[in-house]
Amino acid sequence: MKSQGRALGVIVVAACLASLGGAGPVRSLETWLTPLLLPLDRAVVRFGPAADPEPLALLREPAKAAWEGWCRAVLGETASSAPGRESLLVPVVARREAEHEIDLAVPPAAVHEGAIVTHRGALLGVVSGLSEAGDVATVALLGHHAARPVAAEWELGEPGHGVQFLLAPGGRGDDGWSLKVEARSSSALPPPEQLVHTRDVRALGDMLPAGLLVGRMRGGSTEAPGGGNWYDAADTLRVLPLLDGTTLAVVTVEVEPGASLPLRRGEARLYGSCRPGEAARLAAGSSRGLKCGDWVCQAGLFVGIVETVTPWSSVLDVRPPATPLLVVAPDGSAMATGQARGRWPAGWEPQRGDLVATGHLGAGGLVVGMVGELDDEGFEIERLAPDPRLPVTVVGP
Amino acid sequence: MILLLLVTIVLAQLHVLGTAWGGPLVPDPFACVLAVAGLHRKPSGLLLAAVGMGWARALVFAEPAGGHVLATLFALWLVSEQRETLDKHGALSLTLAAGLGACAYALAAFVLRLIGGEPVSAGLPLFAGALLAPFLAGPVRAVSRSARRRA
Repeated sequence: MKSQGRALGVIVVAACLASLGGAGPVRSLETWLTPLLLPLDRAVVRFGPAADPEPLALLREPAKAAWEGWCRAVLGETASSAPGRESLLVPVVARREAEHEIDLAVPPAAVHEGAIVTHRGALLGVVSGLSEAGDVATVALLGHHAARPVAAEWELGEPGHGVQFLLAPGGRGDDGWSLKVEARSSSALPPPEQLVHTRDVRALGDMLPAGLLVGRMRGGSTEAPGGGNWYDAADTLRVLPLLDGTTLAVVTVEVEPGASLPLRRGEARLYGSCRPGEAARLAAGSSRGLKCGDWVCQAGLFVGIVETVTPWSSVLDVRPPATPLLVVAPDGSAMATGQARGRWPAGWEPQRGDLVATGHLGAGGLVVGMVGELDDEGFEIERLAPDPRLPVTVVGP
Repeated sequence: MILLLLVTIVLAQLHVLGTAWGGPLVPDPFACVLAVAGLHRKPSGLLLAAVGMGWARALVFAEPAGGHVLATLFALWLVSEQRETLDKHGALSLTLAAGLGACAYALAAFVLRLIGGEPVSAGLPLFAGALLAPFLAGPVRAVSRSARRRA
């Protein structure tokens, strides 16, 4: 009997440690009892104070406008698809930093291998694989061995009159993933730190759009004897990609014309008797089609992202999303940034009371809250609380 | 275990309602439940009691259950260990046990938060909740006496 008790104790302590360690199956198991909250939940919600809808009503439209502006910026001003194809905004659904790959939710059978992926007019990589159903595309980011060579140039002035070369995957080095400059000219090469763009090689059968930003030159010397720039022929010239694709939430991908992303959308109810904190509980689970990573919103307010799902309930992470986070000034100008000072653009600082917005391709622009206190670390967000009396909308790819 | 789980859920939900109206310092009666369970449960039953109470609290707080179960187990064990000393204080024993339980719970929660990095809520309302114990001493004694008579 005593040994049984000891064994039970060991199992309980081990399960507790696994729960604290974030083990998915244990977290899921402990959520199974959530319906026990149900009997008293309706009474708590009914007798609780009502949320004030006015602040949200005022902030909803600016958040929507900021999100739409940001989406236009992500699509970029430069054409980011080959002739006869279209660029479509799609969400990043998985990131594998070690492999330098991301997964995108894409319209089934509308994306082909080799399709290019961009963000704000910068080339991120190419589709290197598709799921069996064709609804998830794996992207090899620039520098990955599976990404194809890119015809590039450093523009001296007019497009098409630059110094031309070929960029091949360069793998991972001390300064991150890079591309190698191949077929370089012996007489003229761009000085270090110059931006490199894709060039028009349609005549050679490569439909890669011209003018997309690829990255920045590394290598060579800025102080060559007699002026100008000098490169050692034995040196490997490298180009570092401008954007880290593993930090992005929304990108563009080349698709068949007219293709659109099918999005799931459903309604659910929040448990109002859960204490407000970093997480919340939802009275709907996988039996109603919810999946981890789905976004939950309520009348234009960001509520959270589903992180644990059981058949009849889910747990939401209600912390603001790391990206995209848009700080909107009273004049309507929006800045895509992060909460930490390290992610703010040079010379920019938010003001207390500025709107903090985010967005989802299926839900549009969403209000997160307002800029609160600023300190050495960054800014805090004063969140607007959802109303547990009203249903929430769950959206996901 | 099931009774403690249900009682803890109901009290925690009522505490959430109270906090919504009265602010974050509304007393959390969990310290009293800790005291009653620590003083009146057999030491061999503390593990299951901790699982029920900790799990219930984690459900309402929407936090990982592991931290709450371990913190509850530590608090129950400490109160249970001091049962004889606490019993000597007569009417004050429940209040002292609630205070001790709240301190132990808060300490364990702090350590677990440091180790695991996951939130285990235990703040001032828990200590304020210990002050509710004098109002519960009479009913608890009556229930315990009737339970003993039935046994």
